Amino acid sequence: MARAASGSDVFHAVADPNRRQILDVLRGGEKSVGSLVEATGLSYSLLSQHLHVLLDAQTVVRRPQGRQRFYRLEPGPLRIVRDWTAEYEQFWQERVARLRRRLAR
Amino acid sequence: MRLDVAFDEVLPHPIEAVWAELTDADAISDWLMKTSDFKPVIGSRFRMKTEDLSSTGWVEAGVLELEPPHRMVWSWSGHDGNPPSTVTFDLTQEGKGTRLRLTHVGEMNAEVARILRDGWPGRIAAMADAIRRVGDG
Repeated sequence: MARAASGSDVFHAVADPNRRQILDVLRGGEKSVGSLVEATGLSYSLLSQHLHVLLDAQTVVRRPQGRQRFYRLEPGPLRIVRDWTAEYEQFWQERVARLRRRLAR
Repeated sequence: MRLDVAFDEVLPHPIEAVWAELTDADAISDWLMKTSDFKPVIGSRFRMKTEDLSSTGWVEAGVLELEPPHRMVWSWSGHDGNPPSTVTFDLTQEGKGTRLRLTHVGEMNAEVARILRDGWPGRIAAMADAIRRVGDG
């Protein structure tokens, strides 16, 4: 993992109805790719694309076992989107401080 | 559910100096985010490089309002599924200094907002905790 998931990544992940459906299915516990295809009705390639986005946003975790891959929910980052204002507040606070320092030079 | 950030600061510098910082691409690149195509022109669009604030690595912005040296409004999109938000810089002279009022407001994607209102992440978290407890036990 190169960096922590940002609010933007998580928003992007849950903005898509198919990805929300995948997360919903995973609420029932860890699933193989095969059972996700079955439960969501998505094609294998489409499912892979969506899982990739969910992995990037760190809302799911992948576990290989033999030739199979299992996915489970990682709910922590989903809490970020509830703190949308807090994320931007911190961002602007830092940037206004930088602006202050530049002006003081 | 919405984004609602507001800052109100007095900077000990003349209004023209502050305005110059807000409307120059090199200055913006230094204090805010890297940009090469910002122009202080109404209707112009520009990009800023970011690690965290956009799913594409770029915040796409545009100049909506410009009243030198008092007011500038930007549209702001982080490609996160939400409609573009709005950043407003308001400057007023105050003695020898300048008051900067900065706001960043936006609406959350309605569907995502509904999920959050329904407590979806909370329910997922509770579920995952329960699964973990079963796993540990």
